Amino acid sequence: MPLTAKRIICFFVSLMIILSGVAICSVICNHPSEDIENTVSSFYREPENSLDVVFVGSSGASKDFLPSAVWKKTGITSYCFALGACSANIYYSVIKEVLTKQPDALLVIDLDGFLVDDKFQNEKEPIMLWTDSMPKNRNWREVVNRFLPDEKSERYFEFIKYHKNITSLYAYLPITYRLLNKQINNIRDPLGGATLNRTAQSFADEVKFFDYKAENESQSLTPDSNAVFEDFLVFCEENNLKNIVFVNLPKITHDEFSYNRAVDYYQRTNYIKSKVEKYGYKIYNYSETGNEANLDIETDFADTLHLTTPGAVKFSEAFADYLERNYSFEKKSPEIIRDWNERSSLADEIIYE
Amino acid sequence: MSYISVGFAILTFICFLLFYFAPLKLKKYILLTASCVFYICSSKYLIILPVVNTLFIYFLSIKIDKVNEAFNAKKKELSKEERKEAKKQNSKVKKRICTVEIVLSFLLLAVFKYMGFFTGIINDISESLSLGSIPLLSLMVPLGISYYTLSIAGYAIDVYRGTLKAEKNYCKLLLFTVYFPHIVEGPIGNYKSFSSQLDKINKPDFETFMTGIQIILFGLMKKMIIADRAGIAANQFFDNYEQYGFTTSLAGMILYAVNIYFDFSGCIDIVRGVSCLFGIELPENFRQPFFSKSVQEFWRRWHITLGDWIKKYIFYSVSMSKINRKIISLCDKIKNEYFKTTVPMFYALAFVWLFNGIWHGTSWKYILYGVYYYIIICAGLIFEPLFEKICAKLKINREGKAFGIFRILRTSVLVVIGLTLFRADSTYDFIQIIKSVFVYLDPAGNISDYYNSINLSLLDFVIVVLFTGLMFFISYKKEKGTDFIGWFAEHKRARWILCTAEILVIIILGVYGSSFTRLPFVYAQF
Repeated sequence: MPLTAKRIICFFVSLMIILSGVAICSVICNHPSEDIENTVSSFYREPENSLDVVFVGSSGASKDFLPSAVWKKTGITSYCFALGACSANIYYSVIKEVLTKQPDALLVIDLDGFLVDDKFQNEKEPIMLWTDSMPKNRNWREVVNRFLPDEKSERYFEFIKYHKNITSLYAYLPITYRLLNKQINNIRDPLGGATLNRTAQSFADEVKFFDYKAENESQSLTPDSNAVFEDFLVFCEENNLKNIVFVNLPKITHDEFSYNRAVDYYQRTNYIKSKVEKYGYKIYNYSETGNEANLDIETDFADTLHLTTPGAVKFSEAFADYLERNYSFEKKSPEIIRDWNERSSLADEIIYE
Repeated sequence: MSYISVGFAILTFICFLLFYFAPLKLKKYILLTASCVFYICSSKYLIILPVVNTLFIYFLSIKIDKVNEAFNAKKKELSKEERKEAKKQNSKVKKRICTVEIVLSFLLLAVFKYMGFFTGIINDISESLSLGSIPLLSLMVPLGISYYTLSIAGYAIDVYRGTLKAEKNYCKLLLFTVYFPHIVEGPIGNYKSFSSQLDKINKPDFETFMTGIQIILFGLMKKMIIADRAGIAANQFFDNYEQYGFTTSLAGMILYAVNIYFDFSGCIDIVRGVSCLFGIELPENFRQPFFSKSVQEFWRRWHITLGDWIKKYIFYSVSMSKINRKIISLCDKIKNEYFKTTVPMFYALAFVWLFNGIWHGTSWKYILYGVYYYIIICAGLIFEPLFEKICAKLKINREGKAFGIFRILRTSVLVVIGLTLFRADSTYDFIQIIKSVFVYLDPAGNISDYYNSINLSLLDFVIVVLFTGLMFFISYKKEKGTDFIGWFAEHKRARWILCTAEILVIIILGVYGSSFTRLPFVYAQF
């Protein structure tokens, strides 16, 4: 079977065609989640050291925190680096990425990631969404090796998992266009990584604010969550992270299950409080603020754990006040103010459309 | 190790490289080593079974040859009467040896594959007589036991019949048994053909190599693009058939037929293509079966090697048995010439279809599957003279195109019903599905619910339809005698383009990865 020059050329031409075809399809198909991809990729377009605050967390943070509202209220620049269903075991990985571009930012950590039961700590899909959206660096390799050893081939070759999207081409072409357009034109997300929730809750049973108060009642975290939390504290210590505030986001209840869960979360927050105080970390527990954001139970909550967009505006403003009271931030130059004002207007167009 | 796994691709690649560069004498042993590695990766220590089974057959077949040689050496010195007697004795000895070979092979098959089934029957009977029950033994089924048992039994019978000389090289015989391309799903081997190719084995030339690659890619397209997609949809239907009405049931039945045909024929293509890389041509197992005009013709085009094996070793053996000869002599009293020759076949056909059913699976459903085809074929044979008369009276041209299309459609309907029985979880489920299609004709049972419950988009269904249409066109052309392999061998640029396009299409449209539910090969379970 002589390897003639013609055959070698034919082989390489075929290989190039195949690789090009796969590359084009990868660009179209490899979209784990447009929201998460947008949140992650837009973060890297923020100028270095330009953010005062970065909010790390899961869907609660993603829906409840609006950087544009924070800016308008207090002039604090922020980013919502929150990923839907994100488990706390990858918070450290997200923070590593944050520190590469915003080393001096105040880190706001969504407590929900630690408060959940163990089954939510061990879900692989949220970790896959993170690894498939983040840059392919050492941090990425470490997360893949640590949490997804059995899914390595799909992490290294995402096309294996996402090529199915080719059959929904009509949906993925626009997504590809939007994300590529932002990438090519260096467009930063006007919403600063946040996602909007426009539909308010419609629970049939009686809905109440969770304003349970019992400072001495404490409940330890579930075993896996506790291990994740301890690891997180070690990570913070090793990286000399001083500026951290933990947040327990607003919650409502409408039945026994949601009430009991909220009680568990509250008591676990107290447990965390006792652990983090010695590090000088603060905790902002919304249920202890007496609803300082004046959230309306009918219109401001999408469900028991997430706010609607109007609710997010109110909460963000209230939280911005908290940040202003407790932390000091650098004064902004006129260019930055202009830039953020423009961005904020764009955000308002989206929020109030 | 699946035929569409990375492990199999690596094994084939390494084996090919070693095979290509190895000296002529070692090529067989490289294939044997690769086959053993493949077997061990899939069934671990159970490789001992085909090894021991082959060893027994090897020695006993040589014994049969020695008996023949001894007779041939002595017969010149014997008188006519003595020769006759010696031949009779000779035959008895050979028959005994062959019986031991067959019983041993099928006993192993029965123990490993059918133990659970027989235990279940015994328990049902003993429980109904309040005699208690015996524990169900669940043994790991060795890879390809149904296939290699038939292959090696065929070899033993051929040696007994004298159509083949016993193989003196054990490794060659073992290679025939565990040859890694055909061990999992066939085609069921014929030792004469396999051995003659092995004797002429050489470095494959570029044309043979490219032919192999073409066939592999074609098989991968069938399996990964059509079969697995149709399989996802079909499985959803069969697992939840009670929720669906007429339209979905009909779609589910057709999708299963599409799934199993492209799954099985795709696998055979992959297997034949891989074997082609080593210069060994395996027999065809499918010849456009859905162009068949009768069920008998269908079974001459579907799983061809199984049909050939059953015809050669069961149908002919039963046809020549004493009981069948008695039946033939009884049928001599029938006046009608047609039935005189047809009725005796029913006895042999009963064994054929019983064996076919039992071979396919360990449940009553598979026996019913065999009985279903037996009834159809016998009914076809019985009513053939009547159909001829009716067609003649109605002036229907039985050789005409229109009637041919009618026969093809009729056969396809019967086959799809048979495949529904094959797939249904039980005979009760099969009856309910058939009722929803042919009796209730109830269009309710939301097809949109069905569509929403499967992880396939509309474009996935379009892909199944388009590619099935393409395969239908290719099959139609092949039926008309087009030799695609030959044509592409002459048009090399077109071949390169085709292969490149096929690889691209398989990578982009193939069903693999965690977002799809990848399905195992259907016939691998047998």
